[in-house]
Amino acid sequence: MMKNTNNNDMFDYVIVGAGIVGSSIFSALARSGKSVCMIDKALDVGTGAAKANSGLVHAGFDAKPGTLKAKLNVLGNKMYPLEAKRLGLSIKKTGAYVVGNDKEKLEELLARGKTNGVDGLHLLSGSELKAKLPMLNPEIKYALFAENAYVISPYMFTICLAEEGIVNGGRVVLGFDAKRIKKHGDIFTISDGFDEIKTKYIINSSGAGYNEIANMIGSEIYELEFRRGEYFVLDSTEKNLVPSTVFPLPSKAGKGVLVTPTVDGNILVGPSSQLSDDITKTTAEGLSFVRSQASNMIPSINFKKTIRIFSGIRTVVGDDFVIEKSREMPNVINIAGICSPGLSAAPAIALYVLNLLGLDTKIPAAKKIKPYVALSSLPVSKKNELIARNPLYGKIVCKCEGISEGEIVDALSRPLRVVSVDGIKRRTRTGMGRCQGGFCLSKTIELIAKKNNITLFDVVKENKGSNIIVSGVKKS
Amino acid sequence: MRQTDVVVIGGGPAGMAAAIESARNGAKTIIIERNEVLGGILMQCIHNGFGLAYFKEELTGPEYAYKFRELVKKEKNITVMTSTFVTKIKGKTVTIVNSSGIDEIEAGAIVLAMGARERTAANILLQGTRPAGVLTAGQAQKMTNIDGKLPGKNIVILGSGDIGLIMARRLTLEGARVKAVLEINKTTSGLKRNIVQCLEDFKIPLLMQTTIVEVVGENRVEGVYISAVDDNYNFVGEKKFVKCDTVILSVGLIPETDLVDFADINTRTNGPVVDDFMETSAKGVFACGNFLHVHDLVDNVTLESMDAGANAADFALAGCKKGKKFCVIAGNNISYANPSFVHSGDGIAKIRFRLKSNVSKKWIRVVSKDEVLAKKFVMAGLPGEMQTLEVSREKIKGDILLEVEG
Amino acid sequence: MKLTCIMCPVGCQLEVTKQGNDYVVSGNSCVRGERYGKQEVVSPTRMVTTVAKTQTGFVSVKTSAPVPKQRVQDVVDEIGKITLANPKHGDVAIKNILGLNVDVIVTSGK
Repeated sequence: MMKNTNNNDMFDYVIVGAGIVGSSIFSALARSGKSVCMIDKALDVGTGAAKANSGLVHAGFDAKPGTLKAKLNVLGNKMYPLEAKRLGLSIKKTGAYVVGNDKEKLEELLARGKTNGVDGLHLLSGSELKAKLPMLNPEIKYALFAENAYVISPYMFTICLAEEGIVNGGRVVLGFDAKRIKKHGDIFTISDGFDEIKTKYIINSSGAGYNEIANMIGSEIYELEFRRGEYFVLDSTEKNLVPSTVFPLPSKAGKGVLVTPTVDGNILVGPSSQLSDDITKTTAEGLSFVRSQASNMIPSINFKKTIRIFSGIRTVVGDDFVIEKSREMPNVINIAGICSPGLSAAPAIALYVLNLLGLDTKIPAAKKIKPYVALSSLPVSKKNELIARNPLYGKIVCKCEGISEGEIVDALSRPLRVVSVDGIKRRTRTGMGRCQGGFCLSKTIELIAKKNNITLFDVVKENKGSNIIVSGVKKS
Repeated sequence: MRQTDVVVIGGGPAGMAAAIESARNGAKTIIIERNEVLGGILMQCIHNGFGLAYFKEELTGPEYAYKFRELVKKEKNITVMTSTFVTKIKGKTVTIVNSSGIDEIEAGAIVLAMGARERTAANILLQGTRPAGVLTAGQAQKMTNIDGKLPGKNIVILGSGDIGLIMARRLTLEGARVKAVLEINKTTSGLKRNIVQCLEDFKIPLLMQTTIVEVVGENRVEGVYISAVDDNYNFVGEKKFVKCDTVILSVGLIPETDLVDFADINTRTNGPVVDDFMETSAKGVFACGNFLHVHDLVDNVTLESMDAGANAADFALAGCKKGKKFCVIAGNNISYANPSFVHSGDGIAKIRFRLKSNVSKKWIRVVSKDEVLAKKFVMAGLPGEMQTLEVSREKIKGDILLEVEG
Repeated sequence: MKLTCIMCPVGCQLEVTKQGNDYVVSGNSCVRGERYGKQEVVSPTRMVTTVAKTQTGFVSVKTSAPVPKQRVQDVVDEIGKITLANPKHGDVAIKNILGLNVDVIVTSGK
């Protein structure tokens, strides 16, 4: 269904894995004018860890000084406002609080932040803290406030980067499940059993699937540890619960259960952190852990307003990111263990990889993508203008989020093909609201089928095999 | 900017009934409906069983809607706006959007008749993976009856709500296999007749005090682990794997009041707090149908909504004349009562309520200051059934208590 | 024989007993219940509601009267064979389906 390769497809760079990191590198290489292709076995970009994380751009005080995590987080953080601006993507500077009663630990974090080069850190307590976070459990006495923390949509960031790479000459091949990678002379041939893609360099950014790809390449294998994080998403009716991200003091297992506004106006609570296989499922233990931890910080959370629960897998390798040239196999870049703060670091990781590849890290100005604009965010006059031009903008499909048919058709008409309901959901927020597609699923399926010229039976929820409709009634 | 006496938001059975009665009382009335036709969810409820109380004949959902649409057409005072969506309600001004653009309607009164939505997998914290093949009974119903498509072949239904039972039969007749209907409680939430004609007729097992522990499957549902539960919903005994490709949820409805920030919400029903005129705490804003509280029968929706429409017209044209305001208290074995407030004065106040548990051969009464204002005898009452008691307003001189005797 | 009446949402618990050649129904609260009770023990019947194909999609239909319970699936399958051209609310889609003296009626509601 998704084949769009030719046998002679030959690139200088192939990125395996279209997550946040892969897409950041893809865009950077394409904007630098390089011949680049990004492949993924999924039918959309950003369907792994990219779609299931906290959506936070951390300030960078948490990581151990001197690590790649610290360095790339702090640099990435500084890059984000411009990244978002270039892509026309919403980003909100909400700031973040780490709260707790262990003042020494918080001071340690503050000092560590300063060592890492993080600005805008403040230790708060008493009435000052109470004024900023009146909803905080009154038994919690101290907080470290980081001004320069942002919320962003991690999957929209990924999608926009992938699209940006495409408009700048890069190629994205989705539904390409690499089965074999062979090297003849200086050329790698990647095959999925049907098609082949040839390249001089491979960048392995395949997240949880890193070792499988590394095995095919013959590059280094790492001991991957999978940590499952389970989350609650609360209705937009709860959007004023907290003004900023609120974390507990970090522990060995991670940054802990946080409560944060999202860039789209929901509240996100999570993650748990359980060692697991790489299956993204929610569990009673995970959810009840999140619930009790979060309620300890913010007692007024109303979990009855949950509109979605989800889980994501973060892949961990030791204490730091792995981003290096393969020693086993020339012209391969290994990227593994990009757990938190992977999203925060992603733009910096792209530059770091350009450097590893011996390329200039000054990326020239390039073609821009058309920004995603939610109709609901526009002023009335602008909306009326759009509806006059295309009446489909006046036809609401998703009632919870107020998304029009015109916006869905637009999302289906962009550089990256969309064949999944979840793909439309991520791009337009159709089905993202409190009824979770209860009223709009049929229409969304119909629009996807029509635009892609496929049957309703071919429309999937997310990946291959996730078809929603199994047959017609009347044996039709 | 348009002006009208009454705006009715929602063109399902509640909205149509409210609009008809509003128009009949002389008010210029606009119905706003987001779908292309009036009828709401009735259009996908192609089964029979509607209309026995109101039309004295048994109709299917679309037929019931058809009859009301014909009645709407007869009312010169009604303007119907379909494919139109309300984006904002502020005071008594309603902002709408449709393919002609954005507009505002300023009304003398508003009737909220936006219905309910289904509880989702997230609402019940359904655990496991998130594959394709998990959907609500209403989604499955729309897919099957409107789109003519089957959501799956081997199906487990969670919850014994009526739509789930109806869909068990519907999907079976279209060639799917419904492996079981699971109900976490000790009693079914759907009507007895549906247990008989939708499950027993087709030998579909109904497993009481049983629920899904976990959904399994990466892309499409591959099965569910199910388990028996005790009275406190703790899992008991061994969990069992049931292979299936689809999980249909029929676990209740929630009034769509999430964006109503201008009126008080009843935490028991999730609908707005109303008085005996069906008026919410926002003056001139009335509510009815599943938006007010989830009904068992559409006929009850119709009757209730007619009252709301008539009162909205009165308010817009002359202002409702109300006496002194008193509370309605839900007493012994009453789960909840609507309205929350009644008034003294003329006419009749209708109290609609649900029982907490099964009642057999008992009187239900309305008491105020040791005086019984109204009562009725119930042969066999179930928590799922909506009951009504009428109280003459002239008798109301204080707070009233609704209770099951004994 | 104990039965739950399905004639209306009340769902009365019926008791049907044989008396000579006839049956006596108790527990019903209306005449429809008595009729149902007798019918159910002699030869149970059910209304059928389903959808029929049209040239552009699907339309809802029902039987004009109940059909024998064991023929319900046959009726649904028979309706599955037809494709209606421009059906209108109330149209007869199939006359005397399967010789059961029952018609199939379009209930599109439009």
